[in-house]
Amino acid sequence: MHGPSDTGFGVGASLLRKEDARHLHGRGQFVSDVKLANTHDVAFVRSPHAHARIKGIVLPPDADGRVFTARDLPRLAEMRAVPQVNGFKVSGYPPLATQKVRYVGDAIAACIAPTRAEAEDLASSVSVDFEVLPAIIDAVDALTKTPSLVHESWANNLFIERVFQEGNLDEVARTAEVVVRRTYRMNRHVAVPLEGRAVLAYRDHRLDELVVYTSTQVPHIIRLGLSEVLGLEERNIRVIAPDVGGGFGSKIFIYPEEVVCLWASKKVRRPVKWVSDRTEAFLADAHGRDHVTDAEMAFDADHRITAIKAKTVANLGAYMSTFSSSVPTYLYATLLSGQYDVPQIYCEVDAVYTNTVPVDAYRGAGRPEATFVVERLVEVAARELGVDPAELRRKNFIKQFPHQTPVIMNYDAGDYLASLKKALELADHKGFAKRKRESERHGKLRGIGLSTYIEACGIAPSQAVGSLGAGVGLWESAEVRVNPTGSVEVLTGSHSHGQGHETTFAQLVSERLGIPIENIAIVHGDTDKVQFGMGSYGSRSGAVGMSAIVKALDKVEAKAKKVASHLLEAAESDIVFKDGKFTVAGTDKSAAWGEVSLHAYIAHKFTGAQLEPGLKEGAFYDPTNFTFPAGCHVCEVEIDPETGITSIAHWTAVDDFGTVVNPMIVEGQVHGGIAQGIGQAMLENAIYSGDGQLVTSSLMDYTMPRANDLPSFTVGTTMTFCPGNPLGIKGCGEAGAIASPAAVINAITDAIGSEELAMPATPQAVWAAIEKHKLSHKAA
Amino acid sequence: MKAAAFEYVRPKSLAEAVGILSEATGDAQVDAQVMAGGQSLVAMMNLRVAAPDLLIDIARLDELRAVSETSDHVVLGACVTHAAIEDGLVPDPSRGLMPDVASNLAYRAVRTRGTLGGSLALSDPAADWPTVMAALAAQVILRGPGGERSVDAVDFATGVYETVRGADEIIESVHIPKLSPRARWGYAKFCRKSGEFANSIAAAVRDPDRDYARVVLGAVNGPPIVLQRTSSLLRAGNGGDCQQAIAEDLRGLDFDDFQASLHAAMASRSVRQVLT
Amino acid sequence: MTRIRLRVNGKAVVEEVPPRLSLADFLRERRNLTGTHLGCEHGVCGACTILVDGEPARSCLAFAVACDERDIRTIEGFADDRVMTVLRQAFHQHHGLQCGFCTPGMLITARDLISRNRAGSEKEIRKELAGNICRCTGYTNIVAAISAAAAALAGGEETDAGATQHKATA
Repeated sequence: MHGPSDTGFGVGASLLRKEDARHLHGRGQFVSDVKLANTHDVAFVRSPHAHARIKGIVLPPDADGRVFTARDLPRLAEMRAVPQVNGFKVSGYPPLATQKVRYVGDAIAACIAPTRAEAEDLASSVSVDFEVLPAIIDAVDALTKTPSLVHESWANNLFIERVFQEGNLDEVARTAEVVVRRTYRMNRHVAVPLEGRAVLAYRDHRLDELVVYTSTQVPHIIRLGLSEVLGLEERNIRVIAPDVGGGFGSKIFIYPEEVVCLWASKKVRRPVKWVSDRTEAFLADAHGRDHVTDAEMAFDADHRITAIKAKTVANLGAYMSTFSSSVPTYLYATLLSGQYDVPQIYCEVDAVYTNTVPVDAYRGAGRPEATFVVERLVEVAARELGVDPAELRRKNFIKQFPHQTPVIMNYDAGDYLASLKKALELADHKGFAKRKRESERHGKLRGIGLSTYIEACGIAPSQAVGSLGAGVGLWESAEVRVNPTGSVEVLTGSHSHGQGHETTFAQLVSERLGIPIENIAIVHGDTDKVQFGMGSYGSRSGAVGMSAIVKALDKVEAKAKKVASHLLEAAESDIVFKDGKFTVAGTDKSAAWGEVSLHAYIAHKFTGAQLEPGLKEGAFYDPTNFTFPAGCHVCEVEIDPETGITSIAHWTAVDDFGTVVNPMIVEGQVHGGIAQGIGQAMLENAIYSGDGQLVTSSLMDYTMPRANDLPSFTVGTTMTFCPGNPLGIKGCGEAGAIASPAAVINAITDAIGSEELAMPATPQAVWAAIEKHKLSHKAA
Repeated sequence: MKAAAFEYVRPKSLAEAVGILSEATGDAQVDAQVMAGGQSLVAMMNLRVAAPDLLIDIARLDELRAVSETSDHVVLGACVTHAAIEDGLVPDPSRGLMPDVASNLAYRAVRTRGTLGGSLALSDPAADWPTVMAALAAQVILRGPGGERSVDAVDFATGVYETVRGADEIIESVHIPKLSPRARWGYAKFCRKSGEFANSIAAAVRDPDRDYARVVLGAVNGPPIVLQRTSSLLRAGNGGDCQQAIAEDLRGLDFDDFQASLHAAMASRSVRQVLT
Repeated sequence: MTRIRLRVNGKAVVEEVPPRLSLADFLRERRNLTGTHLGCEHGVCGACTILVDGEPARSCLAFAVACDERDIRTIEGFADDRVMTVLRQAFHQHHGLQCGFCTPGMLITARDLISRNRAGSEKEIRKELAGNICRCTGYTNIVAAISAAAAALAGGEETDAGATQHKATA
């Protein structure tokens, strides 16, 4: 168990980041900053139609050896995502379209030229003859109307129909005191990391490797995927993820551009580079969310929730993307209990194909959708029952742990009353009525909304997800290499793209080994250096990545003690290691870390038969359970009814993340997540026209949160130790995005006095809700 | 995206610029564009939505950055930047209205390059200057191969991205009558997205010493509209009851309920600012 | 191709460029100054912000050919600049960056707004920052960093350059 560190560099310290130095001086190295002689650039010809048959492709006369289509790629080259849930129908995803294009943006040809501008000129001179087909855009339509199939070998557009169920809900519905029924839409979202995706591929002849620099969160998974798609050995591919400018999930997947660039660099015998432009990012990066849910929550006479029922249609886009099968299923349905003690839950998910950009995990991946449904229903129910929303929640909170929910998840530890209480205090909930009167005096509306969320992360116990149908294991790896001089390198399978692992992981090692933080290097992002890792997403780098480091450190400490026992001529069991020093218990005989590490390598104090030289240990850590961060967010809004302009007056977040390694970094993660959740709730929306054109395909149309759209966030924590991993970490990367949309909509509907409000709650939507409410009150 | 290829020329005088432009527009094969700040044009070129064959860079022509002042007018060259107006580096005929508008326009990095003339020439319906110049009864001076001509700002835009500027004409300057010391103005703008073009703009000016008042509505998906009844009311000093007049002025115009409500709100706020 | 002469980070530069080469690409590809980043190329995100003749401008919306005789300053060109030094320390101490992609443009914008005395209140800072998108931080710490830097510069204080611990926002 760890408390705040007193060295100032260990677990619990808000240590400033090592990464900052290079970024503050413009010396970061993102993929597009890497320069190699003779590199040529790639521009893709992309489909302008949502659904069409390719009748012919006419290349310009000078295209020879510079324009490639599916015909040029190896015949078997097709991305096939491994389904993560039993029962998914897999669609093949050709890196360059074969007979059909299935969404606007679908790549058809790769054009290679000395500069990107010239590659685009070449692309614009490629002419494709299409037979346009009817397109299906809306997920509900994909289920019910099928003018044409997205994938012709199937009977319908259904990816999967999956049911999670516990209990007899018809009985419950009949006997319930109150049943609240609503339909909620989670609007389609685009991740928009500020650095678009980028790939630089070339052949290293000396090492007999194809090297791919790519802006990814999962270098080893990319290597595995590329080896499968292109029929290459993993050991002949090196994937390097240098500095990555944000990911938020959108960079976890294997994408066509990586496959094509790798293949093309072999073909044209020179380095080949592709840097996404922003419009391309909208059309070719996986989108997020896009659920429609019909939900019910039943209550008994004591206002206890007796059942939750949800039927969700999830739009997965035109092809199955790498992790898309997990997002609307075991990352969503299994969280429908929320923080509440609910005896019966039924959830049915239909995931469908449509002629839109493929949808996959995006910050929160399924849990924001679950939280939104549950927290909106609770709020609405509170109004119908005439109960204070906080009180209704308190009454229903789980209070005993561990708690087995009806939907697979077993919550290990938590204290939801504590985070609610602290959040309401920090938010000065008591003073709200007065602030509301003040707003009203100025002709403004004011509202307050809660979101008590829980999520499952620290992804994930391999056997558990395997039994659900996952195709991969979700452990993490770490190798701790001690150098003879005592400095340490830690090779981790986790990957940092803003989370500060080079700092936080080093804090862990510094505290454990008692060595200065400057003597520790964290190595990540290169498959030639780190043997294998599962990468960073699902808030797992702390809970799983750091746990692997702890396991490796345990082994290092054990081996070091053996070396020390020879050095100090004492029994191994008498050696105590503390604060970087090895001592013989009960004596003043000691050896410093640096001495012991040196002796491990010069091996003068022991024979090879007694002990192997060297001090380097690796570990793979497989979580025993998901972890369950939870907390309470409070959003307070003020609305100008004349224009619908809604400003967030205050935002308070209190989260229980278990052990916090670096409070400053954790806060930063919460801030970023809240901003994205507010974007979801109020600003961002990926809009398709009826014929499948992505209307919001630039930053001019897609509304990103700006500094003057947001307040400064107030963030606090409560703590229950996570019993599932050695450090007690729950994870924090996604929580802000998971909690926030419900808090925003709860606050706005509170201000207006009506619930008729869809996301995003733009000024127009808010104004319309206010007008509608005024009319219905006049009529009443 | 990267812009399509083009030829670039930087004329050394306005006359030379006009000459090049008229030759290009005469020769129908050459699609020539005049570029001042480029903040809208280059964005369009980078999206390949605009792909001129020839770019005529007028940003540095001293003639177009010249300013002059008389007792009742200020003349601002077409290439005076928004930032120069914001910072008070050029004379202000509007008693603070123009610097206020400039400081709320887009973002600073755009304001340092974007120009008054460029904004009027583009005539994006949701831009600020067309509405404000109309409210100030400014005049736009155009230079073409045949010489100079003057057009009232209120008549300059004819539609969305459409103006009376001929293909072979360049905006040279804007003549803005000075507001009297007792004049008052009001300005209200609604943007859905910070810093982007507005969804509703209203500019109200009342100058009793010149017996002048005008209320102009912008971002109306067409040229800015003068609200005639509201303007008359304001001229008479009776803007207090302007809701009715605004409603009448908006009647028959093609707005949905939200737009109509926004426009009414912005118009009445701008009038209220004048009167308080 | 057109020959241009300009100054980049204090150095005179002469190069031949095609008209359509953007200033951003000129800096990144021809001068190897990759600290200036491209996030959109339509002038909206602010990641490419540099100084032209001392004023902030979007390098994605300028053609190199139009920058003849201009004085360009990129993030790599502020080694001895007091305001930038204080700002960098403040961003570091307040955790004002995560992935670092928006940071160069953000710093140049922040330096400019401080120089124009626009850091008087949180509201003012947020308005001046509206042209720089950050997807990682949610802006809270960036605003705190700028506020702190402005206060430090106004008060003539030396910031605690040796600090390793975070200053919590009040």
